[in-house]
Amino acid sequence: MQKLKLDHTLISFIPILVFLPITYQIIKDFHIGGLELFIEFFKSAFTPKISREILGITITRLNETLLISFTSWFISIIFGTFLGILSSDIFYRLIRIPVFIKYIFRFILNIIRSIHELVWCLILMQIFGINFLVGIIAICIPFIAINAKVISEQLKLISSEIIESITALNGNNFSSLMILIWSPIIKIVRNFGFYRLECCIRSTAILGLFGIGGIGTSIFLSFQSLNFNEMWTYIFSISSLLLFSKRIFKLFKIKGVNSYFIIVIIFISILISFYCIYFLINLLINNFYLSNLLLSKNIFFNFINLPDNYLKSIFDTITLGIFATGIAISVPPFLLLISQNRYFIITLRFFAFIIRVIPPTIIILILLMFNEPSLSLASITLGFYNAGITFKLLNDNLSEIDKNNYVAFKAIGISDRSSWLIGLFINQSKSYLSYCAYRSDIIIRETAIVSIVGSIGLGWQLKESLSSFAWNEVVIIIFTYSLIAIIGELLNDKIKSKLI
Amino acid sequence: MKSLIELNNISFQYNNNNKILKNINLKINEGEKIALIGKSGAGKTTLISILNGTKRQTNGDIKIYDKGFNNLDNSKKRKIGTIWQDLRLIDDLSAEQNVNCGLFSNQNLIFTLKNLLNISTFLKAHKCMELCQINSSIYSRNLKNLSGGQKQRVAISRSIIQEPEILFADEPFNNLDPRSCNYLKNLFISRLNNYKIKLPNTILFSLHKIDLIDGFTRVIGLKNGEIYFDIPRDKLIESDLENIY
Amino acid sequence: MNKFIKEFILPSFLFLSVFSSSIKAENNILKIGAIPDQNQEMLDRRFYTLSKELSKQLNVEVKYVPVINYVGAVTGFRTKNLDLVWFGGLTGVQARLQTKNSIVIAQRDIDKEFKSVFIVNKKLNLPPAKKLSDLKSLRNLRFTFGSENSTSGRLMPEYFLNIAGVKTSEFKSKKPGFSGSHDATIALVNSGAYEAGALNKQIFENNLKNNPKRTKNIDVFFVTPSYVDYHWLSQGDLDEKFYKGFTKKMKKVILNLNENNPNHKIILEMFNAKKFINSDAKQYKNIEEIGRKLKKIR
Repeated sequence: MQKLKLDHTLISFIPILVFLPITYQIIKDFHIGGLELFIEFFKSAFTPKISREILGITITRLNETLLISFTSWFISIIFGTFLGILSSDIFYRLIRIPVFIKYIFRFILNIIRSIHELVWCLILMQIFGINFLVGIIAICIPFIAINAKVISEQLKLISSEIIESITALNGNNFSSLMILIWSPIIKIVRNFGFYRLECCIRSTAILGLFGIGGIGTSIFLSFQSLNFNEMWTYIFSISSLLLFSKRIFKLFKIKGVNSYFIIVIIFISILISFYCIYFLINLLINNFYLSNLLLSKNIFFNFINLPDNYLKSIFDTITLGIFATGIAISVPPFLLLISQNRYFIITLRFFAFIIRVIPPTIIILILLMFNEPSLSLASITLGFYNAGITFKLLNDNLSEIDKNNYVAFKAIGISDRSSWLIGLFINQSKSYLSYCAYRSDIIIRETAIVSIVGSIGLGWQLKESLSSFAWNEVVIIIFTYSLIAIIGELLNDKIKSKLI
Repeated sequence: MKSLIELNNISFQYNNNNKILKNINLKINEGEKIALIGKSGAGKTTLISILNGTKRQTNGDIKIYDKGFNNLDNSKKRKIGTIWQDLRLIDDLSAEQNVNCGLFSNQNLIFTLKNLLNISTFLKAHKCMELCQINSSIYSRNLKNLSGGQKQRVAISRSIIQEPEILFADEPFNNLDPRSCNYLKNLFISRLNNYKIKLPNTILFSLHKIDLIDGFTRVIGLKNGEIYFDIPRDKLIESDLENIY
Repeated sequence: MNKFIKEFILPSFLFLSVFSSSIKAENNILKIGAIPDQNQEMLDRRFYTLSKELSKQLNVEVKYVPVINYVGAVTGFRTKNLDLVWFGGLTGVQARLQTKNSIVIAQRDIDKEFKSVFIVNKKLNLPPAKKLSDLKSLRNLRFTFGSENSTSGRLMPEYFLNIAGVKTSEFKSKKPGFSGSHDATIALVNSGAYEAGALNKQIFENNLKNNPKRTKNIDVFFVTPSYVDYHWLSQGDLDEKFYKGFTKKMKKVILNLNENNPNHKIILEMFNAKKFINSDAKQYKNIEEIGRKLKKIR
């Protein structure tokens, strides 16, 4: 029998099939109960509340948001770089220390990376109380690991000839290391680092919805009291902040970074991180509750008292991740295939922007007004949120490549859609898919966000366990989360290597 | 005269492929200026890699300053310089920063940091670059934006600033115009300069342009991984050259 | 211009935002908090007025620290970020179990016999329940509680539902919703996003009286039997932190809030009480048992 061979273009479209079960469930669960609220929500977008009081709150909250995101950005970049170097191959090639240390670093980084910052935040908040340092630490933990991974992957690209030539100069090993890794690291920080700033702001906003402070908290409070006008003011302010951060980011991308600026940044972040460490240690020492907790035996690996519905939660979480990935992969090319009309694309871009800016937590809360909490609802929210991101990437890439083929196909009378497909998309599908594979790693981690709010899967279980202070369950859930994310990542690597 | 380097029966091959070098025996004495010639693929680059210790021979043994590479201490290793055929400079650093890398062997980490952060002036680097006729306007320019000839000069400066006793160079005059070729060759052979920079006493340059071998004291011809001839410059005759090409 | 932004504005902005932040230690301030059972503005007003009165009578600086969720209040109390907290029944018990030497200060007159109310959306046309077992007719509805850790919005309603033979998994979509606060429950049931819900009777009545528009689509379905609820809980070491006899004095100030004094009257009105009365940890034994039964206390 001939083996069915799937090409990249087809793979990009097949996941659209997830809409069959999702649409079925959503239609089944639909009710018009909250329609009024929903309409009000939309109408308020055009009449955001603007008064002196609200503007004052907005400014203080934005300042808090910036403080948390800037600080965590610094710390995560600096420490991410250090740990990235420590877990890179080149370090162990130049500095003579045992290689197993590298694997230890990688192992630890993998584990802390596999858990979403929101989960860290909820747990730390439960232990240490609400304090904005908790927010910083919660964002830093996974972000340090993410940055470390990116850095060590980039350092892999240094050619071994150059390493050879530098070592042949017979200098101090550390000097050789510095010379070799300096420019790649500056390059990454310049290109990728400033994008991370945007991620930090986004994360701070999302953690804010769970009480860490900043603009997110205001959004949440105004939402909870159904004060939509006020909420839109906050949402607009955070979206302009995101746009502004992009401006700064572009500024840095064009020109070089002043070296004194780098020194100042390093210095400040080291100071702040010392303060964070001091804060943590101080709390750990003075916190009888925590030390009792850590000493009690039944906290760790007490797998006899599993949370209720444990297996179903795992299943739900995995399905949620798969469905959301399916949506994120297939929706953008599908929409672009429908029409290449300029206005249609502008509308799509607008929606993609809106969906990226409104935190998914709020989206799911809105959807919950006229739908039952369900797996499909959570998948749609997470899926479209990520589709907003993949759409932007795909659209940007498509507009950059040259359109000769597309024009040529159209000239010989092939229909718009077919010529878009074979003239444009086919060249991009490979890189698009490999980005999506990377994105799906993130989606698996982000299931935590919608899962907590959307009453589905492990996140929900985590919230229940946290609110009843059931620490042994919390430990089990974190362990499970980490396991799912790591296995997912391994599978993804397999898929990625098949694709390329 | 003391012999600095001794190669005994050196062979080199990658895994199970053909031998790239076959039974090379060679003695290099202090003060010699050697030109290494041969067709491309004759094994010149490999021989240089073995001489500077970046590749290890499959058979045979090599002695530098009477020791094998494994026993050589750093102070001796620092006296060996190399100019690579593919230059092996760091693309994202400036010309000046690249040249300063040559000083590694004598300097500590602080120097490296100063170099990378660009917060000091480096007179020695400037001297060396001037010596190699690099225009001062490109000192701080990113290496990516330099022409092939300029990059070549940067690579030469990097090896000069190291002040090695022995310099191995793999086609060091590539990409250069004939006038600069002659200037630089004469610089290495005469060792005279106004900057008080100690140029290497013993050199081994691989060359593919025959007209550059004037001035060298000894010429070694490689063919198919073997030494085809190894004679003083004045005894070299036309037919030898014809045979190896 | 770009250079100016890069080299001057950004670093100075960073410095400013780092050092203008609230990392300062606050040692001699009495920090009061509350579970966020109602809309934030309401709470802000209530506790701001109370802080002013406490500060005046106790001669210490008093600061109200808003908390975003119930668990946050418990944790804040445990980590001593809060000195005096207005807890619900369940959260109070949780906080006491986690914090050594905490002292129950007082409760309101109404807290001794507190009640929850089950509400339904008018469109359902559901006749009010006459007895507890009639709660069965809430099965298969879209049902929302308040916060997960609310006593009157979750714990007791769930307890009474269980007595009536209704499990929470029997609601539509197999799970109840959690609106987060009592006001949110009203809004969600009123709008029809949820068909039924349970909340603090007291807050519902207040809304009924002051905000008829927000409750126009709501029918009362059932009022539960009474139980003990809200109370003030303070840290055990406030005497050392401020001055000798501080805790006693603070308790006295709270208990002496008097309807005849116009300033006090405003505060009491905002708490929906006539006065505060003496309270004791023993009163909450029953709540603890129910909490353990429903796995909210482990």
